[in-house]
Amino acid sequence: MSSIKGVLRNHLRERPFDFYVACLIFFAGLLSIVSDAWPESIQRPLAFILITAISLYYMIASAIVILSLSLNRKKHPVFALMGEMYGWMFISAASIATTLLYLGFLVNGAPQSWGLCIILVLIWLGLAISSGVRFLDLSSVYRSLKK
Amino acid sequence: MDPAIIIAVIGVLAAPLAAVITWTMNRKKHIADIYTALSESSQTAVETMQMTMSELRVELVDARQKIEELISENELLRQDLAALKTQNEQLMKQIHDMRVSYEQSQQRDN
Repeated sequence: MSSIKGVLRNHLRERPFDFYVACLIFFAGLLSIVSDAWPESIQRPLAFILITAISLYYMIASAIVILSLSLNRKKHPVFALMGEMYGWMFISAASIATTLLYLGFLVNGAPQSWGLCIILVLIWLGLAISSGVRFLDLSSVYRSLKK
Repeated sequence: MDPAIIIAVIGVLAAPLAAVITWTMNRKKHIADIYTALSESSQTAVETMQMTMSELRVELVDARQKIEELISENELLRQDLAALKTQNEQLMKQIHDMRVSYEQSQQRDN
């Protein structure tokens, strides 16, 4: 038990914000599955399916990132690298998809609150860019290992 | 909702899935590459550590020789200092004797 605590503490010390953001993304995905009114009130069934798929992406990818950050990297080097890399890739793709959906709401539909919708677009766009940068960083590490 | 946005969303969501499926198909090769690279890097790290340790050992031997030379020089200097101290005491005694004889001669002249 103490070794698990030590590993968790070490990785939390290395990348605490990654862990925190992954937890937030997990709960955001859970909320969008549970709540009908978030991210927006959906009328069309296709958009409902897409948002459910995006929520599943968020939950599965953030769970993989949390797991890869919590595991002992020496014992599971492949999962620690690939899990984190593909986790951030899925989060980046889902964030881009969410941003596109919000842009669709802004352009075509009437959102419940314009200001909130614009702020959420900026938040998801920021998440897409930052998780994309993290994915590219990890993929460059992976490429350097392969050489 | 605009169909173009829906198509773009589906495309964006399909891209990571395609990447993961591609990686899974060549999983064994990629895992072998990663393990090989990690073992090579750890071996290189061990060799670097060994080289550094041997260099440090040589430097430590040199430093110990220098310290021993300094200790012997210090011993010589201490002996010289003791000799100088003895000479100094003799000179002080001679000065004292000369002063006593000078005072005696002055009293005699008076």
